[in-house]
Amino acid sequence: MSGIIDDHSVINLEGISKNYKVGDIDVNALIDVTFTINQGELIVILGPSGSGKTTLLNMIGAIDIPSKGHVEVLGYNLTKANRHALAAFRRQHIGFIFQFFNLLPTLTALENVEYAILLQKKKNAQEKAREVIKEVGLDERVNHFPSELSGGEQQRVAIARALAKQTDLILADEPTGELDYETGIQILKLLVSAAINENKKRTILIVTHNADIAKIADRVIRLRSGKVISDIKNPSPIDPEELRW
Amino acid sequence: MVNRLLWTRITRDLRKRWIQVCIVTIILGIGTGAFWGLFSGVQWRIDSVNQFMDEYSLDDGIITFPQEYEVNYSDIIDTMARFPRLNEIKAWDVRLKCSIAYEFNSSDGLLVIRGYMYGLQAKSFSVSEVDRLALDEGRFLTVNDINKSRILLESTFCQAYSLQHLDNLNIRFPSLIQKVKLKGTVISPEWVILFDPESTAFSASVQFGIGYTLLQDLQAWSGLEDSINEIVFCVKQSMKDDSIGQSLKQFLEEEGYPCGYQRRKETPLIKTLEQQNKDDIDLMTVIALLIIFIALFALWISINRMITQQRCDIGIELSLGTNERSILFYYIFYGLIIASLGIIIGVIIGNFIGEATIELYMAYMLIPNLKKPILWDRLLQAIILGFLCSFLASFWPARKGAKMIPIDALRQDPALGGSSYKNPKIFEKILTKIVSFSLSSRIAARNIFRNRKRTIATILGISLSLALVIAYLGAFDSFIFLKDSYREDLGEWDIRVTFNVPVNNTLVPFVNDTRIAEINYGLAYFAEIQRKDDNNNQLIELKGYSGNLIPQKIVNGTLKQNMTSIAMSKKLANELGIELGEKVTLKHFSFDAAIGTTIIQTSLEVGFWHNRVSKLEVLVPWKKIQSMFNLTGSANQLLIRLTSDVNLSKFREYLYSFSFVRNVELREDLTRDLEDVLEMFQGLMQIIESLTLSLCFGLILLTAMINNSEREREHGTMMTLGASDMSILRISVWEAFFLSIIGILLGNFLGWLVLELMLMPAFQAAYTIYVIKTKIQLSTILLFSVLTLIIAITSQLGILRTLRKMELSEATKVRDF
Repeated sequence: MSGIIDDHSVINLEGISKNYKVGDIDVNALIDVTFTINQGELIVILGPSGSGKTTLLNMIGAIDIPSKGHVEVLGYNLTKANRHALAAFRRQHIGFIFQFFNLLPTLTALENVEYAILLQKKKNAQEKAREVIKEVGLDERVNHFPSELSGGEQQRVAIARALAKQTDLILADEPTGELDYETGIQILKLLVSAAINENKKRTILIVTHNADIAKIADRVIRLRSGKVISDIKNPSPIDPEELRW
Repeated sequence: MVNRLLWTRITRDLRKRWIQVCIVTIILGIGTGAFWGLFSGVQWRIDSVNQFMDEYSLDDGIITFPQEYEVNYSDIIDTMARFPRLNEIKAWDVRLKCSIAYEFNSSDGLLVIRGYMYGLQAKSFSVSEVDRLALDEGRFLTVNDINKSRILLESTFCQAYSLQHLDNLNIRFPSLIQKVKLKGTVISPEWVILFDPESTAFSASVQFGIGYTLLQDLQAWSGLEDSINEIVFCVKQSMKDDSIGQSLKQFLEEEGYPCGYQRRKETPLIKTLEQQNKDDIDLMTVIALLIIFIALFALWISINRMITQQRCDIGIELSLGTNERSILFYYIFYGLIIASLGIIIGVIIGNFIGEATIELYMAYMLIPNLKKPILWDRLLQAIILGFLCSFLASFWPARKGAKMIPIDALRQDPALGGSSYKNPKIFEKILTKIVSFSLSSRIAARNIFRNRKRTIATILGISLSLALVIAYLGAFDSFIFLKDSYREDLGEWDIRVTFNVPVNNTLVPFVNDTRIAEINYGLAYFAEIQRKDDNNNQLIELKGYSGNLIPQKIVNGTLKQNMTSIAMSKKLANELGIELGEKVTLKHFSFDAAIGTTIIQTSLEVGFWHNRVSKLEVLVPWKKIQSMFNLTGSANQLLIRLTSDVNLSKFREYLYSFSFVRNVELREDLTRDLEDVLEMFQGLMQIIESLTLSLCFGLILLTAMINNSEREREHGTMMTLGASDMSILRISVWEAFFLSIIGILLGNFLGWLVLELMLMPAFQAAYTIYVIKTKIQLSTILLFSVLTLIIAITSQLGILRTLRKMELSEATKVRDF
């Protein structure tokens, strides 16, 4: 797969490899991965457990560094950046949604969203947070702590946190992994609408092992054993409501 | 039987948590070491004193004659021969006790030190009796040593002033300077009598010398030929009661000799030593137990955390069929391993602490140089206590873990540390709201309430450490305040001169000396205060001062010349049950060179309380006391203020040249006893201070480490969101700050409580003539509170290292079961 760089590309990966040692064993999590993602695309990275999809997402999200290769996201060369530059990059440009929500346990739903805005040193953080929380349908649960919310509610707070940052790139690692079917659909709807609402300027990457979810994507990149085995456009993505798994 | 797998697991767990393990073992080591070391030091001192007291023939006694009342030597020998129970006394002798000042020809000029000289006849005591008085080497002088003037001096005193065998020593007596050849140095138990009844300050200063010589020599040197003022005797067999002594006292009184009797067992010194033994043990028990408690907390925090982290593992074990007992055994055994390591450290630390405590005591106590054995029983107690702590710290968490339902254990998210934040109580909400200056502080405040038990344990640990330091330093401050008050009591006077006999003011030759700016005349006597019954009251110093120039400072106004009442210490009045307006009888002893000693009784109304630091002073107006003693126009104690640039040493030498001058004390002399106490205090305090601050530091560091390890996922999430290292550090710093503030407030309160309810009463009981008030300096509180805060905050800096090394992709994961 060659990386074609065009003017609208937001992610450019060239020859990315990631290996690490587990005891005496060398593990090649990623092997020579190369592709480009354009602005406004909704991409699903699909693969079984251990295929390297989360590792790949972590590279793009600047929370991990490749052993080899070049990572460029939104014009930033992440492979050469130091810790502080990476932190600043994540702060301003990345919205991350984790499989296990990773909300701060001592902050309420509203405060978790507010926290992300405050990191960007933006004004009126609380008001903005309220708006976003309302968008995800949790305005009646704003003052609850994560331990008082259901899994779906927590994930919606996590999405709100990512959306509130108003970043160009949202990365979601198995966002429906811990949720039941109905809740999962709701989450996917939120993610899709997040892409659409921004006039297709926001790029969204979803990592999943669930092939059905890939049907909502504009493009599906398949990984197996650390390698990209296919990168196919989806001519007609479907609405999350139509998904069945 | 511990099997191989168990050892493998334990060693891996220890290795994985090696930093925490190191901190906990050091804390436990300090705890057990402090217990053993401090008790060793105290126990050694007590054992030394007990050995000394055993050798001191506690059943023997001393008949004392009142101050300024010298008994004629020949008369008393004749009188003693008529004592009906003389055959029950194995040996008896007479002696003269004089207060003297030693003088050395040093390059610094005159060095005058207070001391006592005893002249003992040593006629009736046989060599075996002399040995029974526990001389370490040498012997008492006997009549065979006449014409060979020599002095026996206490060895520590000699060492301090580099006095050698056969050195010449000038002894200055009130009237004469005698050059005396020193021959032989011995350690004599009699030195302890330098703690005379009027002085209750525990002074082990080397400046208190004690010397022995022949009675005849001392009589000649002091100009008190044929005079003695004490009879010492040994009884034939161990006495259960003191009937012989009482009988002898009664006999002598009937013969016209006013006297007192003290069984050696009941001398103020022995009582003081016994009380001190008890007080020291009590104090060390409190200190040692507090330190052990802190160690227990630390261990509990660490093991509790470990079990929480391993809950998933416990869940797996339970699912596989491991029984609860095995799980319990594992963690208890883990705790015992840590205890063993801690105890090894404790033995090493305890040895140093014990040595330091012993050295401290040796520097300040004139105890014969006895061996310092290892106190095996105390060491065993410390070891048992260490193991007990580890058992207690590990048993309850382990039991809780072992009793979990397997699926609940498996589902537990270790990253939450078993502590999610929910259902905040009202006061927690209020507290959080108060300190929510920023989102960081809000997170920090809520973090405190996540694991309430651990928070309480940490706060208690900090507060107990601080309480110990505050209590001990507060006692030190109280003594400094006492010393300063004592000095202030003297006003601006430079010198206090005491005469042997009252001297008519006009006959005091130096009153017109140009070096003197001001003189205040006084009469000072010892008196008994009696109420209607003839109780066994202590001697009280009766003082009168001239009110003409400087009014005497008392609580309500001044001591006026025409008063007919007395000012008494409120503390003394409370002890005796005396109210204002009540009349008390003063029995006092008047000595006139011509008439001799007379006993006068006067009844006076208690009109005022005085607030001077010495409780034993009863103040009466100058003219009143003169008329009571028929000594109008006379004084026996002068307070002198000098003009500037007067050489104090030379002036003191000048004063001593007058025969009627008994004692000349400079301002610093008057507080020397207290300074000695303070010096020793300071040494012990430094040991305790360093122990408790180390513990405090260790505990805070341990808590910080545990908190940070629990919050790895949160921190990883924050970093993923783009938070900087400093913003994450800020949260930890706030948390440490809040915990410390609560701990500091509680610690200061507990410290004051310990000081007020335990230490001060003990000190007051030991130093009965002083009125000791609890005074903790604000600077003390501020300094150690700030120090604790600094320790707490700087202990969080380790998080920067953790953040720098953090693999975000791992940190943000949840263990995928």
